[in-house]
Parts: sequence; structure tokens; C-alpha cells
Amino acid sequence: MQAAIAKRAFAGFSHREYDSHVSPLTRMRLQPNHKTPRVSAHETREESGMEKLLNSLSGTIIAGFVLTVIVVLLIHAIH
Amino acid sequence: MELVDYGWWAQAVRWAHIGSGIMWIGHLWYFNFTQTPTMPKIPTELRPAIVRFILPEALFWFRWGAMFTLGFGLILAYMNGYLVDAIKLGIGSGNHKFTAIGFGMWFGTIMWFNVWFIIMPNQNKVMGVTPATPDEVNAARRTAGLASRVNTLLSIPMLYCMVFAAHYY
Repeated sequence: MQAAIAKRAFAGFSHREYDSHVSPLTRMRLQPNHKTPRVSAHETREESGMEKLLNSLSGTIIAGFVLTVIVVLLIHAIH
Repeated sequence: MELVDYGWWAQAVRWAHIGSGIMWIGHLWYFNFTQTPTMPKIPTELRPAIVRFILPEALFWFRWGAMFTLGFGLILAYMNGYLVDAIKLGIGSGNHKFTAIGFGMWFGTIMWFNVWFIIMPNQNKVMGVTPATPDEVNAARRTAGLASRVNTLLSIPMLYCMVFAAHYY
């Protein structure tokens, strides 16, 4: 049902526009042959620790504050 | 005192630097705090409105905000006489202010580089401005997103350094 709605919504779009707006899961559902979903290598590879941190907004903010503390210590260490 | 003396011009450049900075970081935080987390909740048929109309406009003000912030910032540092000391992180100057503003300048410069040489080329692929295969588009979306998050992370110590250099150290 969801797949059918998405297909209708993107009826007038070029392939690239369609592709850039549909999630990999929806794209898998839209594939005519479900046995061979078109999912690229980078979509299935494992994320590094840094990527996991940056994918989390709260993790990014906490890391920003931690870096700020390091910078303050460096400012005082230099003088 | 002349009505428009050197100090007036320095303050005018500072005003322009801060205004451009708000334009830049305001859009950066809009992308990271509002648009990106909301996209999965938007019905699929409505997403093209964001990507085709709002995103290109927001990216225009975002990238030029970055450019003018850097430009006015460098002019301001030169006019105030601490450009070289700040680039050297104040080492040998004995002044905390130059170290603080130097860290802020380096963070800002890294962020400016990210905007113009990582985020924009990849966003152009996502928006279809630069031709790319579907796999390249997906990779570009991921790269642009990560670079944008790196900039959000760096914006926190960058703002600390800028504000505290001017008002604390």
C-alpha cells in the first residue's frame, strides 16, 4: 500500500529525483523482484564509531562540549 | 573624533562578520536540529517540496553566509592587528585572547572548507544539479550529512572561542 502510494507520488519524477527521495526499504518493496533488492554496498556496511556518534544529534552536541573543554584547557596550557 | 574613523570601520566589519555568521550557523543548526530529524516523519509525497524548493534556497544563504563570515572575519582580524598571532594560536604572544580567537578562526576555517568543498559538491549530487548515479546520490547524501554534523560539533567550541576572546580573555 505504502509502496503504491510512493510510486504514484513520484510518477512524474525523473529516476534520480525518485531515487533521492525514497528510502532504501521502500525501494526494496518497489523492486519487481524481491529476491534481488537494489541496495548498494555503502548502505549495508557497518558504521564506524565516529559515524554512530555523528548520526546522533545529542552525541554530536555532547562531543562539541567535550571538545570545548579540551580547547579551554589547551588555551591555558599554551600560556 | 571623526564621525567615520578607523574604529568605526572596524566595528562595521565586526557587525557584518557577526551578521554573516548568524546567517551561516543559523542555517547549519536549522539543517541539523530541524530539517534532518524531521525528514523521516514527512510523508513521502511531500518530501520533494523540501528538497526541490526549500533546500536549494537554504543552501544558497548557508554557503554565502560561510563565505562572507570568513571574509569579514579575516579583514577584522587584520584591522585589529592580531591576524598573524591568531593564526599561530597566540604561541609566543603571552596573550590568551589571541589563542582563543586563533582556535575559533581555525575551527571556522575548517567549517568553511567543509561547506564549500564537501557539503556543497555532495548536495549538488543529491539535488540533481551535478549528474550522478543513484548509488552516488546515496553516498553523497551520507557524506554531506556527516560533514554537516562535523560542522555542528565544531560550531560549539568555535562560538565559545569567538565570544570568550572578545568578552572574557
